[in-house]
Amino acid sequence: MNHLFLDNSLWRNIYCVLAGESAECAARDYSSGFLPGGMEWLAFLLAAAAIIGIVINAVLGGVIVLIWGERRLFGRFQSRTGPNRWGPFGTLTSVADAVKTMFKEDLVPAEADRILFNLAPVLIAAPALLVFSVIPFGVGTYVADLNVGVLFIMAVTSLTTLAVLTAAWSSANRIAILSALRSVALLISYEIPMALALVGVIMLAGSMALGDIIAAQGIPFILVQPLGFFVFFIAAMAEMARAPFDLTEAESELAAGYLNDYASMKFGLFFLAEFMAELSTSAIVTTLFLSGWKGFDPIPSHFWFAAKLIAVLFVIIWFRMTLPRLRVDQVLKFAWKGLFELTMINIIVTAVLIAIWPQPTTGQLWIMAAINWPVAIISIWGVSKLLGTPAYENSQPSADAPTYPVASESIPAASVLGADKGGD
Amino acid sequence: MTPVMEVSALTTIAFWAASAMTLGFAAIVVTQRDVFRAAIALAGSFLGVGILYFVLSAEFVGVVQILVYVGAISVLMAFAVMFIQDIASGSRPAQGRLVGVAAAVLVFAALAFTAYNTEWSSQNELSPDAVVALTEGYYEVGEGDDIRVELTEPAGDNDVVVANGGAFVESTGAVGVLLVREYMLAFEIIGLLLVAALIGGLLLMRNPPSSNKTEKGDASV
Repeated sequence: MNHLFLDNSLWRNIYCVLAGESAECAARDYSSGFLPGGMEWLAFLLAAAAIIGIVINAVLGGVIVLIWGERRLFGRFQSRTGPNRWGPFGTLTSVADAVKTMFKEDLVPAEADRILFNLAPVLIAAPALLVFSVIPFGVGTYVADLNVGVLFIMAVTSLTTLAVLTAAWSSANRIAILSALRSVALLISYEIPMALALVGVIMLAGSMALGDIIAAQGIPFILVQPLGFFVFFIAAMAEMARAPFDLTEAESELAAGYLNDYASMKFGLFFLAEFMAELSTSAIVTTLFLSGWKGFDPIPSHFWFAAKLIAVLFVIIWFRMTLPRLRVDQVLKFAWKGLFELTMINIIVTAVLIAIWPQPTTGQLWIMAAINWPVAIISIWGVSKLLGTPAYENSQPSADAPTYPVASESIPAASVLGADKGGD
Repeated sequence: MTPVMEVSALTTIAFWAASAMTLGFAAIVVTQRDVFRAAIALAGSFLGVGILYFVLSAEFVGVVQILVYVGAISVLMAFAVMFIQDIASGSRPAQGRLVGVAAAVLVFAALAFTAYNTEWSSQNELSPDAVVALTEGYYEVGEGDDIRVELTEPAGDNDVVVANGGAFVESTGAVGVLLVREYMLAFEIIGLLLVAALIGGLLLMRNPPSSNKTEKGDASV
């Protein structure tokens, strides 16, 4: 059997406590175990089950806390109190919501394709959980350190598209189909800048394994790869389909989109998957750009990871609360004409820098950062100049020629007002 | 040194489970009349093939299989399916059944012939040293026609030494090196082909044959 997994402390502790006097654990100072010799395969299976249980429950617990924190923060951002009825500071609100969701009636529309309708929540929750299998939560605390970790994350998150399509199609609902069309366009478009933004990080680290990427971060890669971070963060927000990119379930336009016909715990799974995606995105950003669990010494690595994770979550919630929803054509144009170009600039600049310093030391990383920041600022400014809506020339409307703020290229102001006002 | 690729009972179980998944979903694809369900089952079949690659330690190929086939091609198929009439009752049965059966038999014969005639090297037939060299890496020592393979790096030698990663340890890196060194031309040609396909698609979309000339002038978005 492959015993390389014993380099991982999460596996080793559970396996060796169970495995008895096996040869692999003897060398690692575990004297005796619970199972008799020759039962290593059972120890392997039990350890795997235990680790899966730990990670899934930790993630679900994290989601419960996240929902509470997000709603409290929403309250703050909107100058109101937020949930505060159940438990101290409303901490039990999410628990009450979970219980309520579970006991609701489970409705299935008469026209729905029952098999696919029941399959879709599973299809959406499974990939959201799978992402956590490659994330290092602390020193030696991970389920697996695949040598294609980054690519694995991209592959697994791309499965969401199929789940959304299945949910929409199986519920036999026009509004759900409209939502799925938007969702597929959104997810497929933003997958490309999201993957390309990570190429810079992969080139700097020389590896796609998350462990190696953390080890390569002499300074956090957010300093060396500002453009990559900018694009990845926005694309990841879009992949989560949260505001300002929540056009797939836009309440004011599509009721709830593909979630329209789901009730009870099936809706609960979609809801969970959404928050798990938020959690996993923050974990990925923490690992790839904020040097993961690295920190200085007296504080354990797991706390560093948690602190950085919460900081990223705060920024995501802040974004969600601040920006209004974008239109579907604006969103797609931004991905293909804006973010895509920025990733290309980032890849070319990083490739040149890597050609100069193939295996950068911390000092060389600082030099790269000093080069990359001006490049990032200039290119973001340039792209926003090229793409952005031109500023209105008359900020003060005059009485005889009123101007209306119609901020769109596809609907020129002139055609809306029914008169040619000149200019574009 | 423990051999990395020793076939354990768990690997065997994983192999049969993934194979059963692939074949089972494939059977659903051909028997299911509802086209959308068939498309979803096809995604499951692709996923089974991806898991098989993982079982065979080809992580890179496995992940790319999931990324491309399950994440993109299945979605495309499910999308295309929506334009078919009468999805629930299924499409019309294919007309040329005889041709279909003949094609299937020919493809199966070709695959079976290739598989039967390939010399599969089992780990039992390799020497222990060869297994270590394949799984944990080896060193090529010497130049030109006079190259010998060593398991450990020779010290105090004037010969040229080239370190090789094991085939199963560094498959991702090996794929990358092969793509940009040995198969550079093929890689670039495929890239060119994809760009041509993209531009072709854009051209088809921009000039629909039914549009008249006054509209063409405005198409500058």
